[in-house]
Amino acid sequence: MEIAKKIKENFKAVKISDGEIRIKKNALPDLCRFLHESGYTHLSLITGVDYTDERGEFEVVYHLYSYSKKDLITVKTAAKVKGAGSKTRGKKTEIPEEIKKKVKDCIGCKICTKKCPQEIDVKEVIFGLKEGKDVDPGVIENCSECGSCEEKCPKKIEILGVFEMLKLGSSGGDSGGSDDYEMPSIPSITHIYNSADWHEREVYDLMGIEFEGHPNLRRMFLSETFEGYPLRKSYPLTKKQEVNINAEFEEDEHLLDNRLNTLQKQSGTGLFHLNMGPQHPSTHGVLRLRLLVDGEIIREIYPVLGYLHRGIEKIAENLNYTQFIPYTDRLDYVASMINNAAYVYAVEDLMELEIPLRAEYLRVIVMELQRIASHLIWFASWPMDLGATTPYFYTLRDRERILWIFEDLCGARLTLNYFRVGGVTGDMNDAAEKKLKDFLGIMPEMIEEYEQLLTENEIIIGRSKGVGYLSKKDAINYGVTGPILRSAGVKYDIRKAHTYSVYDKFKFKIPVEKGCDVYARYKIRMEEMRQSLSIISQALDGIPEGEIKARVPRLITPLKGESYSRVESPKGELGVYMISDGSQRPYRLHIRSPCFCNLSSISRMCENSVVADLISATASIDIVLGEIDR
Amino acid sequence: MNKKLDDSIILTTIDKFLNWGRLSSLWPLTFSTACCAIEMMVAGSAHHDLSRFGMEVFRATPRQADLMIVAGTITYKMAPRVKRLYDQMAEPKYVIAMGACAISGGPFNMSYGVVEGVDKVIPVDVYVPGCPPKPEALLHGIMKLRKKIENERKLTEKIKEWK
Repeated sequence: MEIAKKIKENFKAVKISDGEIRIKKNALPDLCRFLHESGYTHLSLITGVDYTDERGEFEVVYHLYSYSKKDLITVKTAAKVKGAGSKTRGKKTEIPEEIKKKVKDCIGCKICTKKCPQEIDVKEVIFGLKEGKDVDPGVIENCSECGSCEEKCPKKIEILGVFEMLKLGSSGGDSGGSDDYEMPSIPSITHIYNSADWHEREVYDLMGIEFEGHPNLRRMFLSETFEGYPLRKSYPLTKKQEVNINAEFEEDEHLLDNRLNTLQKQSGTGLFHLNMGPQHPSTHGVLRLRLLVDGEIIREIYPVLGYLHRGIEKIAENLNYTQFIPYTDRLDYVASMINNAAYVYAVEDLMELEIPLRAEYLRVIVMELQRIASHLIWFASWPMDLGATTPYFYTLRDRERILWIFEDLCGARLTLNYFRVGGVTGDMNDAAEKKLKDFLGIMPEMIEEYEQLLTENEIIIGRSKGVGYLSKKDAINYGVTGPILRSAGVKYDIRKAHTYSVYDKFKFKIPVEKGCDVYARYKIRMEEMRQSLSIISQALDGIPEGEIKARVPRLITPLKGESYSRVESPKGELGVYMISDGSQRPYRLHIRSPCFCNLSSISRMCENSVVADLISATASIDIVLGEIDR
Repeated sequence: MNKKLDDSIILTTIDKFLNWGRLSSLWPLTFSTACCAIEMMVAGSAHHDLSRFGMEVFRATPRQADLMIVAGTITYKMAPRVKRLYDQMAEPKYVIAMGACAISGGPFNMSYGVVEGVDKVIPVDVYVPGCPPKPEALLHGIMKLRKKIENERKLTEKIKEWK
């Protein structure tokens, strides 16, 4: 690699191994600046990983991408924490009475150990408990709860019940939270990449890593009154905290008042504070925007997120690989199939699986159908925000046809859970195929009809041309992807740039516009629907016979390692970064949400525009709060 | 004279009359947090057509609405806002908890950020299970609510109180 050589020349303390760069934290900003200057202008994601138990450090991972070289680089740095690593070790814990009662009959015959398909030393655990020894719950991590140990036990001990108690005891309760070490810190790179702003705040909020030099390091999703950092391994998943709304308001007011005063002094005019959301018809969910306005002109925007923060990344660490697929449906719920795909590709990448061709064709068909469905929802809601209700009825009528096809394929309409590691759940059947062909016949005409409604409509043009302007330079710097990036003239679509699945077998175009505004995004989405239709009909013609699922073990245990899979969702680059420690559950899972990154550009997009244009611009980003807040 | 009166006079109780008025034009609040909102949107669209029940006017402000369809997950950060919105609605008001999340926290109920059901925050009249429920299921829930309203005796109870 050319860039690797250059980095080695310029930086001393770096380790480079296949696309991954490890660097000391102090040299990180210099390295990032160097990479930025050598073309790696797109900061795809920043995320933190908690290794305090193993190595006594937090790792922060950066993915940088170069549009010109089509190359992705992973940069890793670590922040050591003082006093971690030894926190709960060596402390002898009392064995609860209930467990003692259950294991008191154990004679240590080892039958259970022999019967265990996962090769867990069950006898050691149960007999150990009887003897009063300290048992590490990590030993039973791989238990598949098959029950064969219980069946053969001569003393009829409820082994699974004991295991469950052990697991609960280790993950839940108050005993887990000992974060008595200092806050780890890492230099911020917000001065190089604008998109780092939100990413760093997210890491700070959930992982508790401080970024030195960040201009505005506050909580991103959780309330300011929240105690602790949920993605740390020491925070129990089930520990809930109520929110004091008044304390939150005070915090808010304080922050905004300060800013308001400084702005007022600068401009000399009377500014005021306008609150929009979280209950607002055109925020597409529960987004809250705090605006500082000068009459009708917006001076500054402070988005507040997290009203739908469900902690999906934490949940993932507590479920096995197959169990997590339904949760991906509920991220970007208007494009479930594509979320499924991003996740499943990440797991398959770790397992190095070969997927049957028929399954890949089916995947492409459903993903493209889902892209159309998602754009249709967008086409229903954007004009509605501007006051036109007709498109809503037109598009939802046609979207229903797609849902019927999904229903025939997998039985669900919205949260589909159609993908599996290794393939898909249902084969194409006659009913679905007929509906699909009907749909392909009707849809081109319908898209014409939609365009007749809006493309030359004077009101629509007035409210979208030149509105929400985001230049090419800004778009790249804010990490924006998808239709918004393409509306700024960057021809980047992951389906072409880094082909996944079987997209290389089909002919399709990537629509690009140069308008940089809402109207350009509208044009792009319309054209994308047409291209998707063409992909579907090509796939339907070329679909081969064969299996729809590779042979995969019931319990998926990928090798130790990490993967980053990216797919082109209707909103942009959807990435899943996954770290496996060789067990049945992911060690860490991070979702790079396109809406999250795209929304971060809203303050740039709507600077000095009128309030009414903010509505149009927010809608043009096509936000889905489920994915932003996760 | 009698013949004319036969055609134009209906005898009923005031309670029944008021109930009929209420149930025939329930105005829902545009309140949606997650996935169920999309199915709620679909319920309002051409195929399922909520206007059959006189409720196609989704109101953006709670002051004009008398039905809150809680469609989606409620987090601890959102819960005080839900309470506030509910308080702002004018009496008589009704709540439908749509989907597993609004009923019990659904698949997310173990998570640190999620309230285990909206009934921990506000009273709920009808629960519609599903993840998400189909639009037909939501319509069924609405019919159940209409049944409930039909049997209410709000005025009679008030009069009893006065006595």
